Amino acid sequence: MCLHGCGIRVRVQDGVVTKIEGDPTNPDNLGKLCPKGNVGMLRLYDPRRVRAPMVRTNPRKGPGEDPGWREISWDEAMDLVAAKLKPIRETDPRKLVVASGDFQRIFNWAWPAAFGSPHFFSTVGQYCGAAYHPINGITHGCFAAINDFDYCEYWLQIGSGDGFSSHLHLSGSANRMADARVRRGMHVVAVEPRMSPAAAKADEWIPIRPATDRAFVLGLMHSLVLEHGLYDREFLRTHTNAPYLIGPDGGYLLSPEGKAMVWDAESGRAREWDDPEIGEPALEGRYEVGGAACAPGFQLFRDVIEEHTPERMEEVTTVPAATTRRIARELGEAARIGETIEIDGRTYPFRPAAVNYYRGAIAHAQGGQDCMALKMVNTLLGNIDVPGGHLGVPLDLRGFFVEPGEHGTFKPQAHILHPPVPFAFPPNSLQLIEWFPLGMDCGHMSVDVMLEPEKYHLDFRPEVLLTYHSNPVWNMPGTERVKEAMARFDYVISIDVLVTETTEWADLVLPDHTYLESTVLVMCEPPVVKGLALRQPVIPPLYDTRDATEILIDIADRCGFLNVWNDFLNFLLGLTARPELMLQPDTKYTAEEIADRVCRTVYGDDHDLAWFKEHGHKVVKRAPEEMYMPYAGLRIPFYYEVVKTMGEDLRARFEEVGYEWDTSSYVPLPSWSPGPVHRDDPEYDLYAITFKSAETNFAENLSIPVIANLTRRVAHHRGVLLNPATARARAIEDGDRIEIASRFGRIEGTARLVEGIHPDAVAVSNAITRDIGGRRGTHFNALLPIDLEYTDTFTGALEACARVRVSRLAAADGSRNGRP
Amino acid sequence: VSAATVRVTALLSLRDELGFGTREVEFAGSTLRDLLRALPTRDGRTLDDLMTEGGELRGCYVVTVNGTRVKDVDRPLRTDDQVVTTQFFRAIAGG
Repeated sequence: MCLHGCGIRVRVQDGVVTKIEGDPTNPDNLGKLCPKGNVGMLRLYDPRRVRAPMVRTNPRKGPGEDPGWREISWDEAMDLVAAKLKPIRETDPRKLVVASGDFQRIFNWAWPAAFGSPHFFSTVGQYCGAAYHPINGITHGCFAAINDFDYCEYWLQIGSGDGFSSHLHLSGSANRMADARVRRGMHVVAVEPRMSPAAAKADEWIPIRPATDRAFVLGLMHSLVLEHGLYDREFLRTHTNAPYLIGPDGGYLLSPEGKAMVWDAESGRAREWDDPEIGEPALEGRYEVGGAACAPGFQLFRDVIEEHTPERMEEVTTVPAATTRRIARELGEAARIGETIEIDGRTYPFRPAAVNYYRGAIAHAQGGQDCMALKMVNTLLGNIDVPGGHLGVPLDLRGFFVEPGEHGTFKPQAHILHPPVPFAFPPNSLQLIEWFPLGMDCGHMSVDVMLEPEKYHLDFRPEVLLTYHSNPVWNMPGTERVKEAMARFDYVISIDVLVTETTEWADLVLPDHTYLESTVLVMCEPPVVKGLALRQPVIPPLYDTRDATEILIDIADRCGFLNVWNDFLNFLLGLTARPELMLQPDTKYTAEEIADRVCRTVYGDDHDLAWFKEHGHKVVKRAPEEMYMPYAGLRIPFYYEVVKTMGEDLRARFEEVGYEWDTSSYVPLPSWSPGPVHRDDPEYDLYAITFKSAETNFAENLSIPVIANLTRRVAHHRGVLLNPATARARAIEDGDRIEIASRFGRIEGTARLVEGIHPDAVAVSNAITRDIGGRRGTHFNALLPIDLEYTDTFTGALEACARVRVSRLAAADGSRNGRP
Repeated sequence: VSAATVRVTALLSLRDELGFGTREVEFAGSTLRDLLRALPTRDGRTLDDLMTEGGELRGCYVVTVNGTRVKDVDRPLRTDDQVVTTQFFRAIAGG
C-alpha cells in the first residue's frame, strides 16, 4: 500500500481483522496512521483480490478485453513460468523484462539482476525522484532529504507534500509538522501552482506558473547573495568546494601535484586546498595562475545569478519580484547565520531556515538543474545537515554513504541503489542506464526503446514481461505508447495482490499474500528514525496465495539460479556480516527463515524473529550525531564539478562510437533556460499538472472502496481544476464537461472552478486515474510524452507537466454540460 | 614465514573461479594480499591477479573479514578469521 514502515497494531476478532491503529511505541509514526493505513484491512478483504494462480484463456489483449481467467494449481503455474523463463535464462536473459514496484521488499528488486535481466520497465520512484536522489547522493550521501522538524523555524516548501499530504513517512511527518507549526510557531511558506494541503495550512501561499520553480529559486539566490548579502560565507569556505579555483575548461585548476587550488586572499597567491598556510580562501575574484585564467566556483555562481534578477524571473514564474525579495530576506534572516546550538553536549551551527522540495519542483526535463538550484539555496544558508536545516535521509539501515573523495571533498554517491553501470554501446538495458552515469534508471525510456529499437541500436528483442507489484500500464506516462509496447511482449507474468490495469494484459497471474499475511522486515527512507520493523501475518492467508519472496525463490530454483539469488540475498541483506548465517547456495529458504537471519545479523541472536514477533520493531529516533554533520571534515559540492566532468567523459564516449547524444544538461551550475514544456506553442496555452493527497498517494489504493468513495466526495478530486478567470476566457462554467488535450493525448473531465489554482494551470487529481473494476478514469499520464526529448539526459527525470488546451465539450443531447 | 588458516567463502562468479563455496584455507603469510595470492583461479592465475589492480582491490569486488568490509589488501589476517569475497553486482534498478 505504501513504501514506508509505519508501526501498526491489528485487532483480530474471531479470525477477522476488524481494526488497525498506529503503534504508539514506534517513534517513526508516533501511533498515527494515514487514511490508507487505517483502512488496510479492506485490502485484505478486497473483492478484487486474486485468490489463486490464474491463466488467461482469451488470446486477445488490451483495454476492454476480458482475459477469461481460469484458476490453476501452483504446480501448473510454476511449470508454465519455468517453461517460459528457463530457456531465456539459458540463452539471452535480456529477453526477460521485469517491472518491480514492491518497496517494502526492495531486496527483491535485485532478482532480475540475478536472472541476468538488466531492465527496469516502470516509472515507480523514477517519476518522482529521478533528479532528486542523484543530487541528494552527490551532495551529501543520502537518498532523500527533509527539513529539520525539531529545530526549523522557517520552512519554505516548494512543490512538495512533506509534512502535509505525501512523501516521507506521512503519518509521523504530519504529526511533527503540526507540532512544529502549532507548538513552536514555525513559519511555513508554500510555493506551488495549486493550493495544496501544504499551501492551505501554510502562513503564505505563493502561486507559481508550473515547471518554473528553478527560475524562482535562481531569483531567490540572486536576492539573497547580491541584494541582501544573507548567506553563510564561512560554511561555503570551510565546508564546500565553493572557493576551489575553476579553470577555463570548467574543471578544478590543479597544482603541478594534481591538487585542487584556492586563492589565498591574505598572501595574494594560489595555494593547494589543504595548504596549512592558507590565510583566507577567496570566494570572489578572477585570477591568473600558471598562465591560466581562473576564478573560485563561487564567483562563477555569482556570474550566473547576476542575470537572474527577480524581475527577469518574474517574467518566467509570475511571482512578483517584490515577493521574491521579501521571501529571500525572511529566509536569510531566519537562518540566523553565525549562531550555534548545543545539543547533547555538542555544539553545531544553528540554521533554522530551509527549503524543502520534491516532485512538483523537480520532475521536469531539466530536473537535474532544478534539484541543484534547490539544494544550493540550502548550501548558501549553510544549513545542510545542521540543526534547523535541510537534513539528509538515508535509504535504510546503512545510513549516510560517506566516503572521502578527491581534493578533500565528499565522494559523490549518485547511485545509492546500485553501483554506476559502465558505458555500453549498444545498450544492454531498455532504460539505457549505461548512458546515464549519474542518473537513475529512467524506466519510461524502456517504452521508447522497445518501440524504436533501431534508433537505440538495440541488439535483442524483449520477449517476456514479469511484473512484480508493479503497474506500468498505469504508472508510466504516454499511456497509449505504453499499451503499444505491452502488445509487443509474447508473454506477460504478473505477481500481484489485485487485478490491475497491467494484470489485465497478463497471461499468468501469481497471487501474493497481502501485507497482513506475510513476513518481512521493513524500513525505507525514514526521515528521523532508524531500525527495522517486522511485518508479520496477523491471520493465515485467506486464499491460495504465496509470499512473493518465496515465489521468486521458487522461480530461481526452477530456472537454475537459486545459488546466484541466494548469494545476492547474502550481500543485499547484509548476511555477509555473519558468515555462519549466510544462505547456503542451493537451499530454498522461507521468508520467515530469511527474516530471522536478518534480525540476528543486525541485532544479535537475542533479537531473533521470535523477539520481533513479540515486540514488533526495534525502531529508535536517530541520535543527533547521526543526523547532524555525519561527514564532518569532508567538503560538499557547491560548484558541481563532478557533473561537468562526467558529462564530458560521456560526450567523448559517444563521439568514439559515433552516436549523437545530448550532454548539454551536464552543467556545474544551474541557470534558467526554458525546457521543452515551455516551448512557444500558442495553441497549447495552459500547463496541466497532477496532484495527490494522503489517501490517494500510492493510488493503487484507489481500488479500496472506502478510499474511492472518500475521494468521490471531494470536489477537487472529482473534477479538473481551473481558475475562474481561465475558465471565463474559454466560456467554461463549473460542472461543464471539458476536454484537456496536449500534443500527445487527450482526456475528458468535469470542470471545477477554484481560486486556489494558478491561472496558467489546469490540475487533474490522481484519484480519477484508475481504469479498473469497470470504471474508466481520466488519466493525466495520457497527456504526457514518453520520449527522449522530454527526458533530462543528466538524471533521467521525465517531464511531468504538459502543455495543453482546454475547451468545453458540446454535449450530444444539446445540453450545456451533458447533464439533463 | 608465518602462516594462518582462515575460512573463505566465495559468492557469485568467484565461486566458479575458485571451484568452492566455503573452505578452510591455510596460506603462507599474514595479510589479505597473501591469502588472495594463495588462491588459484580456474585459468591458472590467482585471486590476487583477478581482484586487484595496481595493488588495490578493483571496484567490482567486495571483501569482508569477520563481517566488515575491507578495502586494504594489506590488512592482517589471523587464524579463524572469516573471509567473504564477492563480485559487486548491479543489484537494484529504479528509484
